[in-house]
Amino acid sequence: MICALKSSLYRFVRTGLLAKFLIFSVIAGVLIVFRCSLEFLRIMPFQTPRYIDNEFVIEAVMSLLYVVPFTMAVFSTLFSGNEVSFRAVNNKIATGIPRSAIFLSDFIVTICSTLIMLCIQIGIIFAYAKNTGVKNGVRFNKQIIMITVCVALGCLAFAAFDEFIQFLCSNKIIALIILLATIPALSLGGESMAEKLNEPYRYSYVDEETGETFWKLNKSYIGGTPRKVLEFFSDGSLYSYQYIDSDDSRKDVITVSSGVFILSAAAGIATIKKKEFS
Amino acid sequence: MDNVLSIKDIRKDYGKFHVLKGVSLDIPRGAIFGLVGRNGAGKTTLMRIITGLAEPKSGTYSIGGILNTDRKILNNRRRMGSIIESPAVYRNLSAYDNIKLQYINLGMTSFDDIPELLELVDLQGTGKKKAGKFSLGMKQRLGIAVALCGKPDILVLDEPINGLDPQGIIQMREILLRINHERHTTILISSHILEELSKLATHYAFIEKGEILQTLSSVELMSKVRKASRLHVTSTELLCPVFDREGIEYKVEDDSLMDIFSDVTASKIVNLATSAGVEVISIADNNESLEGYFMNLVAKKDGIS
Repeated sequence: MICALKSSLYRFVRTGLLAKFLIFSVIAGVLIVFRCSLEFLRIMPFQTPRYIDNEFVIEAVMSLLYVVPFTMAVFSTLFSGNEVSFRAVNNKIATGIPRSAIFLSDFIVTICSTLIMLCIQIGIIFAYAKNTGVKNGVRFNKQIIMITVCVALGCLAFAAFDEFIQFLCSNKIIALIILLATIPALSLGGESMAEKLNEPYRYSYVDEETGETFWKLNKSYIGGTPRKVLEFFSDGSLYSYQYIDSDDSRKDVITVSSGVFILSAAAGIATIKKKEFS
Repeated sequence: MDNVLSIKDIRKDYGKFHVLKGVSLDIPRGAIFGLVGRNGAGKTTLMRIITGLAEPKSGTYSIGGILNTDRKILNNRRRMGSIIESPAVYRNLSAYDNIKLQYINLGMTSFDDIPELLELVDLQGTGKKKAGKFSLGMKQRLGIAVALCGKPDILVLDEPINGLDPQGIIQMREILLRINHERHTTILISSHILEELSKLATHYAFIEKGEILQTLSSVELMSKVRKASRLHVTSTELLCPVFDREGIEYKVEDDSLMDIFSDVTASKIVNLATSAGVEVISIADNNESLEGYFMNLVAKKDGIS
């Protein structure tokens, strides 16, 4: 395991991926702050007021849900995807390194990279939010901390899933397409679930002749166990945004993200153990 | 002679297709063992199994006396280097870094041997150039260098000269012979280019449709290949009835060329040709090639089955 980890770290540094990754993390962090500033500080000419509060921090932190998974999809392709596509993983297997150690070493590097990126970008957001020279209403309360934890866990779950897919697919381009498609799919899925849950149980209509009001059951309403399942996944979805205000929803997000993280790691190990490399 | 690698009754299926049907082989230490077979015969699958990239359906193999079912096999795999199908190198790293990475994989802490290894495969001048920008020959040689990390007892090379130009093939042959002679590394090698393989191998195994047809040493092979004389005459058509009458075994190539497999003297051939009104232009040795021997083996197997 130590050999595999040293090997992954050496490759991370020598391919220049670490340097590029750090530079990109800083630039992306600055751009997130800049984009949110346009909206909150209204720094465009002739627009006022120049004031930020917790809304700015929440908006900026939530942006990470798109930036980090996208970046990690590309990162995992360049890191683990290359290893599988170049078939260099064969050298490790033929050397006698246990297959689970091969997966875990890449997995650890990817997860650590995700954490580094999160730290850099959250650091930039928090530092800017606290030190901007405008009227400042930012207070780092429990809500912000919990949202940040949820977003960070969600990003780590994405990174774990990225690694699993890279080892599942032998072609890194196919893996990248799957990973990039997952982000909008989950985002749209979250919206779709919320829409379905918002369907009313019944709706009223007025008879135009008599002027009487009638109630009709809504066939699109989802009830019973399916509703509970859908509610769990909707609340647990990173893209539902319900956890901004709800403690229960935050717990679901943490549960789902942790579950995806653990399942992805387990599935990755199972995949590499069974996979026949060409 | 002890065996560095022993394979016992290995079977492998892909769905309903039986790729390997009970392959058994012993690779003697110090040999250059040529695995000869057509596309789809099972050569690559066998090599993938012994390098740990695939699992057999049944059967066992042992590397340095340790069975694949024993957990200690992971340690013994360090004694084996391999290239399966194409060299597995990081295209975004230099030759030096690729080798160093394999040293790290092997748990080695001293990297002093790397320049020597680069020199062995003639890649000493590549500097920081990325492997992705190497020619195919250079990539193959880098693959060999990576496989040689840790001075393995056995090298498993699947089609290492595929796609190489004539100069690259000669260079690869020289490197492999050097490795075998200087480092006493056993080499298991498969190749489609049988003529090239015959310049390297000390032992052969012929594989067809997942079965080993025959294993033999190059000395045994030389004694078994059919000796032939290539006859260049003005008309093979007129000569055939004469040879048939005399019971001489032959094969007609075209109107003017034929091979004679019987032990017949040149003067007798000339006499028989003259009697048939045919002029002999030349007679030369044309012993059966490795390719011809293999094709005969396959034809016999197909005839039986």
